[in-house]
Amino acid sequence: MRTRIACSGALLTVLAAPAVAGEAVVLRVGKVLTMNPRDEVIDDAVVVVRKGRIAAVGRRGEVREPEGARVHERPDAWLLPGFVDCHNHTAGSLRNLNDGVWLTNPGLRTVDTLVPESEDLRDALAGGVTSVLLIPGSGNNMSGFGTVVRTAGRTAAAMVRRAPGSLKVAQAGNPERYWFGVGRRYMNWNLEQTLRKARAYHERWCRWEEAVAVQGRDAAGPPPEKDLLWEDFRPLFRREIPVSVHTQIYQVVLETLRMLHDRFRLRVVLDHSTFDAYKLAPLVVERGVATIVGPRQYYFDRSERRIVGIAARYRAAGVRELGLNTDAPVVPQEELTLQAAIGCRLGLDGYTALRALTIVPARALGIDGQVGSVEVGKEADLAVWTGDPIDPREHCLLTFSRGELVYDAAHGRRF
Amino acid sequence: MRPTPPRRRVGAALGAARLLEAAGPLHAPSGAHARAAGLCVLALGVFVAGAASAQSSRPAGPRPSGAPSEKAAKGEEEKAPRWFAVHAGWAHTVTQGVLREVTILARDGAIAAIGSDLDLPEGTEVLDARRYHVYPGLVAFDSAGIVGTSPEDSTDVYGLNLSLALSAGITTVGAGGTVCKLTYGTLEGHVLGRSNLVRLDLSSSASRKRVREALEGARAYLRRLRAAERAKARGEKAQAPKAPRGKGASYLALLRGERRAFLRASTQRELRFAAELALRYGFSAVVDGAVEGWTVAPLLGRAGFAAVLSPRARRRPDERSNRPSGWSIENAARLHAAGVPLALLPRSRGIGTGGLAGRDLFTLALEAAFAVRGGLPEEAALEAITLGPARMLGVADQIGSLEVGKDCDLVVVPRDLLHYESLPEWTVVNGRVAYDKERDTLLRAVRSRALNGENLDLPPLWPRPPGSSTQEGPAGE
Repeated sequence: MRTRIACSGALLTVLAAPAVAGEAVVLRVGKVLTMNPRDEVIDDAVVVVRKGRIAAVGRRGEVREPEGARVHERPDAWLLPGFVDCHNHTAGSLRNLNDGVWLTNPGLRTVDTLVPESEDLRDALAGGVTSVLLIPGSGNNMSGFGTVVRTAGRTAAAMVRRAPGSLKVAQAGNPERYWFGVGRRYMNWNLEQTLRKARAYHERWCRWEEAVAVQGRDAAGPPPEKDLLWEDFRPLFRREIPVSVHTQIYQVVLETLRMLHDRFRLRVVLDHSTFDAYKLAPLVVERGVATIVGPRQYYFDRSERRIVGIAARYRAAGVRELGLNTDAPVVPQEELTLQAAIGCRLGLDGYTALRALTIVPARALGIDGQVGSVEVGKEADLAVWTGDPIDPREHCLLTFSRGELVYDAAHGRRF
Repeated sequence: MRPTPPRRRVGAALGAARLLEAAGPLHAPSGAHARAAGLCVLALGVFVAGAASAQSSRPAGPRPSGAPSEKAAKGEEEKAPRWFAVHAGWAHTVTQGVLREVTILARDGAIAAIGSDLDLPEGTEVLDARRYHVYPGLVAFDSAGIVGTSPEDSTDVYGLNLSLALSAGITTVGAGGTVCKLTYGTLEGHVLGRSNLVRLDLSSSASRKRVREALEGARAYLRRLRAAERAKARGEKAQAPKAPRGKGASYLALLRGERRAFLRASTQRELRFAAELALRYGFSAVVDGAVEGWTVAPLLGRAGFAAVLSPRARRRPDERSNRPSGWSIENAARLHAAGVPLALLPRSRGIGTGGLAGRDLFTLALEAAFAVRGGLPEEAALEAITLGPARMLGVADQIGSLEVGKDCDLVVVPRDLLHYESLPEWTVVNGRVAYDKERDTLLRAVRSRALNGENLDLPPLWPRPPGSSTQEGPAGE
């Protein structure tokens, strides 16, 4: 059933649906790649899930398994955290990709466009992808706010992890086609102008809130006027949510770093980061900015007549916060692991590639407290694979979202 | 197109010089032929199947044995044979399983022997791949933009796309009606053959009707012909019917089993129509597309169809149909289980440098890996990018497997071909190294064999050091 629910946008808090309170689940598998800070890989492992969260992880025999739990016994399988993609357009209706009204459309939200249980989302689950950032298209310079969503969930509300999830900015490229065409100089000026207005709004409110805190409500006077155009920018300037930037090509990424990171001090996610932008890797390292590479995975360097594996190059230059994306539907969401395979084919190492699908994008989106690794207390967003997920020959057997089995290959292979 | 950078020209020149050097003295010692013949006997003893395919119909083709060349027969001076050998750690023959630690010896571009402890003729160019896996060169049933539209007249033998295809391990491509070898640097032996397939257009109701009527016409002719023959046999006076010409002759060849049909069909409905037509008139076909082939796999098997497909070709289920529909990752596996021979292709049949990998021929081997994901056995997946398409293109007597008598077309990879990190190190076409990852600039820096894992680090920042760029001060603060 296709349900479209337009979430009320008046409240911009986290629309958290109640956690699934189902039965306990025990997963006995051949290998767990925890993707935790100690990079632990546990062979012959058990994962216990209670009330939708991970209750225990460890070697078989060393973990107490609750009685009456539903047991999934897959002694040859690998278990990993559900994958996270920072760049998705298919969790919502694609016809709402771009609202090209103005060159910058700051107040718009993708949370209005969610489509739960779509074919695309079910495919995503079959690819082990459990969380995505649904962002507006890059047809405009600034196209509004994305939503961090679960790919599982029967209602739009159940899908939402965080709204607003991020601000989407497109520097160069697609917005150049707007109206009669605009150039990068204009877009930089325009973007900066818009952000200054947003920041002024935020600062007005901050001053008032401070006055309330210091002098009390009565002395602080009337609050500034609420403006939906700028309201979502407040968590952005508080650095609670990132700005995910459609940015690629040397000069464009350079301006992203200078404007959005250095001048506006935003939490920046470099989304795409492709073409020759890898040459800026030292600046990326210096700033600790998350770099999410895709959907292109290589750059053809004409001056050297060579193919450059972009992710491998960032990694070689010391970029730790390296992720991979699909820009679904450019690359289908379930083929996120193929992006890793291509990255590795062109020089990336396998473990870095797996981090790039799990903990790194989770951290980039600020949801690493809930997902991105197999650690006690985190939501049980897990996927069980026949083997190395990067290998196209292997496939996903089971996918769990908050401990609930949301894909089972035995009941109809989807991918 | 940009002019070729100078370094490339130097590289090519070096490559040519190396090959000349490797070819050795132009006049081989007199014992060479005898030794080679001896090797062949030895090899034929091991590879019985090789003997059958040792006949090459190509006039200018290589000769597997030490028989005198045509030129020699004409009394011209005999050219010394060109010897090439690969020491393979693992030789994945496709037809004879995997052979450990063997040498593949080629004479004038054709495999002359496969075995251990081969006595190599003097001047043999040797490729040491003892730590590598050797496969027959990959075959793309169809391609776009790799060879020229009229290949022998317009292929750029140093073209980027041709090099890219070689770097992906591809040695032969179908292109339009032509089958081409990716002969790097030469047009010699470039065109391998012409397709003998009869194209049937089943795309519209009107075209399907035309095909059906034409087949009916061909069948009616055959009936009249037989009637006339019978009458003649009875001694009656009978006039033979007028044989169809042009397209009619092609349809006749289909019914007589002399040629095979080629048609596009993707949905269950299209496939069913095509298979039933083939069964009714008794012809066989190569079907291109077959996205919903898994829904009618036994029927396609019965019809003797072969399928060209892309394992990830997507199609949403058709809710108006009460039959299973839509794409399935298990498509290739189900068709294989039903006895349908396969040729795998990516969704795009071109090759390019756009950067979106995994969609075109640059990752043909990964397409086979996706078929394995859907349950196709690995050997069948390998065959579906080598011998399978070679058979459908009608060139399986020359390419598609590692067998004595076949062309020496190889791809050498560091681990099993279907693994995602398996980038070809060498690609050999007609017994010549057509691609060497360390010599070609394309992928040299990726897990460099020469640098042994050492990091080829970033070039100096270009075009300007941007460190100072952050000193402009925070705006508006």
